[in-house]
Amino acid sequence: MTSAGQAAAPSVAPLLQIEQLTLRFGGLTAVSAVDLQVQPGEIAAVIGPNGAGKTSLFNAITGIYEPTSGTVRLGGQDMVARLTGAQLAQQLLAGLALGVLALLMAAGLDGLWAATIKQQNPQEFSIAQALSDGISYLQAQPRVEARMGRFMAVSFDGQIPLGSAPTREKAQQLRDDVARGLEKGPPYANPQLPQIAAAAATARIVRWLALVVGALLGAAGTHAVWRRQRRTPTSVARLGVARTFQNIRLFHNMTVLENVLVAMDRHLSHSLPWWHASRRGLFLQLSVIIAFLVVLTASTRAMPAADVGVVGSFALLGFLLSSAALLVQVGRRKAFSPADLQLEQLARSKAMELLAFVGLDARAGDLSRNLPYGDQRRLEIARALATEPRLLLLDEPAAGMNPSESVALMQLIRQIKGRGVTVLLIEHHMRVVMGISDRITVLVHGKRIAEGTPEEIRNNPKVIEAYLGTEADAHG
Amino acid sequence: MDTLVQQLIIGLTNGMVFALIALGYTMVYGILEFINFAHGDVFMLASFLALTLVGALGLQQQTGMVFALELLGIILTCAAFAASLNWTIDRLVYKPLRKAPKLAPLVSAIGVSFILQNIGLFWGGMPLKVFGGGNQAAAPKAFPDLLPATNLLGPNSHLTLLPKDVLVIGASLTVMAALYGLVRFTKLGKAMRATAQDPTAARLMGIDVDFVVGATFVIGGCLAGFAAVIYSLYINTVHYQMGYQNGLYAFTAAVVGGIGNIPGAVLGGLLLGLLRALSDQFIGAQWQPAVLFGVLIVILVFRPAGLLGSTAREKV
Repeated sequence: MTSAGQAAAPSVAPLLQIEQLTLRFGGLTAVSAVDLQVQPGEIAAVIGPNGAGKTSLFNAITGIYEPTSGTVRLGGQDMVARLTGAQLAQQLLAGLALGVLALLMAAGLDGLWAATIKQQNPQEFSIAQALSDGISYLQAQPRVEARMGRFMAVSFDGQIPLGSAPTREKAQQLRDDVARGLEKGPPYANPQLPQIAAAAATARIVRWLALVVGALLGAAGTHAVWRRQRRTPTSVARLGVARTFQNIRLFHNMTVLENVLVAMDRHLSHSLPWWHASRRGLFLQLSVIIAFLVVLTASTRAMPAADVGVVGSFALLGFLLSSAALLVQVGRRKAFSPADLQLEQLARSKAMELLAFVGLDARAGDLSRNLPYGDQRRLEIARALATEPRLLLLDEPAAGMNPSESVALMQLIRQIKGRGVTVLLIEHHMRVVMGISDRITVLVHGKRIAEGTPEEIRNNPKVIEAYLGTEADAHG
Repeated sequence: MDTLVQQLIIGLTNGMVFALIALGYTMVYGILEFINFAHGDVFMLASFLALTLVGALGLQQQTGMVFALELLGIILTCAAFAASLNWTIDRLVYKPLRKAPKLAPLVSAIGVSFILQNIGLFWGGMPLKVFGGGNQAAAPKAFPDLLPATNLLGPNSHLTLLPKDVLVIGASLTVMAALYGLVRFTKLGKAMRATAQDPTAARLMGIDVDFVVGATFVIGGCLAGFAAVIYSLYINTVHYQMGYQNGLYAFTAAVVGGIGNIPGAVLGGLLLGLLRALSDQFIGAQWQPAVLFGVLIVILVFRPAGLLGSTAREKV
């Protein structure tokens, strides 16, 4: 850990390293080629007049904005989501879907409809037959159609009759003979066969091409879209960056405790398998309910009408009672959540500890929108800490606070540093910034004009020039 | 008195089906502020699948336990089918438009709705035996009356309570209770509520919003598939435009209950079903749409955000 006020030793790898970050919105350059380094364990601050691009910088770090150019690294790695099996499967599936679509287009939907459904005998239609006809149509094979009470072997496009027979089996035999090129006299010796064979071969090549090209395009396209969007706020948050907002963004309709639990849940995932002992009761109850429904349904079809009333009312009663029991348990939170009862309790105690840390443990059960402003800010900090971040970004944490509240806030930020969390904050409140920061970066019009310890910044003529008017306001 | 109670039973059963569909609308709206107009047509395709499966398994001939288990299997299959269909539509059509203006996904949803109706026409045009052997695509298909018309209250009662009434009400209640538990008490539910309130903040708390949205479509699809089997068993007709019609009713129910609000959708569905039944009985079936929507307009005039919706829009 570097000591406050002194420049960090260059040997320590920076936790957050921003190089040449530029963020452009149309013609407006919000952040222009900014370099910023945050050493592990320090409190760093970004200051600057309104519109200097401070919040845009935060948004670029947290993945809300995609940087126009430049890199943002946390602990030496790009903050991108890794390709999971599910996403890979999704991309392959999209490829497959597009390939099949291209194949259907290349083969012709009307032809497919004719081959599978229109030219079949409605009386003996079956899905299996339609499927096998469809597949042989897509493969450009000659096939058998039902036409006017007889079965006819036709060329792959249905245009040229190859011969007809009274039964499907005979017609299929005929088709197979033609396909093998056997010449057995007049009905089979069709002079157009060579052309048909050539056209079928071409069609086969076109269809394969459509399938393969479509599949490749689909998979590659979805993969490219994923690559472009893989630096998301979620992936950044999961790598250990948490933040608060200039305008508070709590989950207003949840309780104080729930706000913290939401942020904590990710660390509890993959906790217990669904068949775990504490969940077995739930599944047992669900199966009892289903069993009663099954008995109810079965009895109505299996019994003479007179008996149905008795068995039916018994099953109905059982169904209602077991459902009511489940509802009561859900209401008392004995089912569903306490699936992971221990974990839930662990999460709760951790959340309560965090709330105590920011001084809100007494209000855990209140809706967060009912908290006073300063408490909402501290709840936001507790919620951010619940994600177990390595780096905490605070966007104007002292905004709207009175002097005594901001003193308490400074104390809190120092304690956060004491927990081993690195802090990067934006603040206009100069007393707070100068009081707690180890290192300050000054942004003006999106450009970095100075960087250094609070003492250096205070005496930097460029900063004084850029800041003079606003500093007086900030002390207001 | 008996007629009133009888109409209440009918209204309750109808309302349960509306509520099941309305839940799909309201959950998606709650999270994306987007009305998935294709939802009703997913419901329609699931009921076509149900009818096809009933035919393929020969369910009319089965009795007893085999029948009940196969029926259960059909319900699960249709729910899985509708869920994956809904999820696929979201990934292919709505997801690329997440950051687009709100009207773009809305128009896409209407487009998907028409495409699904066309698929329904295609499906209905297949000369399957269960479709009556014909291939008139647009004709309503009869769904076999699988549950017998035995009065559970005894043959001499003035009231009729059929097994299918009990099945609709009981199964719907179970599913709704499970949904409530899921949203209220599980991690996924918590993540859903957080995403609905502030997607950006949820992302920054490490919640995978894309996954949550996908899960919402899967759950909505499950409910639609389930509702499809239940509805087909109850109404005994399947038609390629039934998704459009019931979807419109369910959407209305969701708005009247307060869109984005899960108990609201159930309340709206039940209200719609009861109003329909009562107006049919006491005013006349030909007046049903006018009476129904008249009452709903009055409700919306006094509670524009719906019965359980909150009027306060949160400022960002």
